[in-house]
Amino acid sequence: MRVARIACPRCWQELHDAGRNLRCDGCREVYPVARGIPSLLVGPPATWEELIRTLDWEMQRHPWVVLKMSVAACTWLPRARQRLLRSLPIAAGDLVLDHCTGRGGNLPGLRRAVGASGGIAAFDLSGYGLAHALRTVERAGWQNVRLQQADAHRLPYLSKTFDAVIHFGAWNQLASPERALEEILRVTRPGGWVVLLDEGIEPKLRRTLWGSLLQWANPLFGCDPPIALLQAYGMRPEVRWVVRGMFYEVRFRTPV
Amino acid sequence: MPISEELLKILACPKCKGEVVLTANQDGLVCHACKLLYPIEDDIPVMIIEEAKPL
Repeated sequence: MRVARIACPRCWQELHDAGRNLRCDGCREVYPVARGIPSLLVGPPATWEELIRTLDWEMQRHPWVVLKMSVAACTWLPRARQRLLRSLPIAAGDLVLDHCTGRGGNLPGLRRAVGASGGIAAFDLSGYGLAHALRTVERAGWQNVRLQQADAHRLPYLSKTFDAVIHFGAWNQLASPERALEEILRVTRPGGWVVLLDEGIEPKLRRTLWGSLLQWANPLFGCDPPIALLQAYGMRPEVRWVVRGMFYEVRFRTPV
Repeated sequence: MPISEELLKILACPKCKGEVVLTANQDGLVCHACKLLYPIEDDIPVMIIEEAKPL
């Protein structure tokens, strides 16, 4: 049977029904079908340039997403971020990783926390976001904040390096949270802190008007915290919902 | 913003997790084990395996 209106996302040729799979006429890629729904995902991105370009576009679009969110959630998100940063388990002199730093919005708060004696490494896949973050770092003249372009699934740091790893705002969209977590556990020193924060409304608020508005503004607010994943890796996470129940914050210490 | 000694102490090759060293003209980081050169663009090391140049 010929399947109409679906094309191979890799080469745009027609797909054929091959029992439990769809098979491409052109590149011979096979796509699984589960419960009648074909999974038309291509393993790695076509090119890294393409992925990075997509992320750059997302970053440029970010202020509009924030504006849209603000319609539903007022305008207190930046102040809320600063409050959250003050509550992190970071001490002066610590070496901290700002995991997926984006446009570097966490950097001022993290720099205040570690002081001049500590250090911050911050990475992202998006060159656009990093260029923005670099301007912040250079304007402030921070000598102990360093930026890298890197992939969360393959971190470019030595093992057991950081006193704390802080991740705000991209966990729900990682291709492989398992792989990213393994890398975080590798680079965090024993007994170090890991804090993961991302969109995800407190369960009791999901069916309220407030919860519905947030999910309209950004469907990622329907995500759950990665508790089961962390427990599967032997972690003992503490979860709380912050910023009026809009975001989950999961924090745990790595085993000593 | 040049690459600092402190940063070099914590950076590793994302492929083998081994040591990387700064090139003589400070425009990249080299992993001798993987024979890869990670470029430094606008003072930011690009530590992505697919973007690295083979030596």
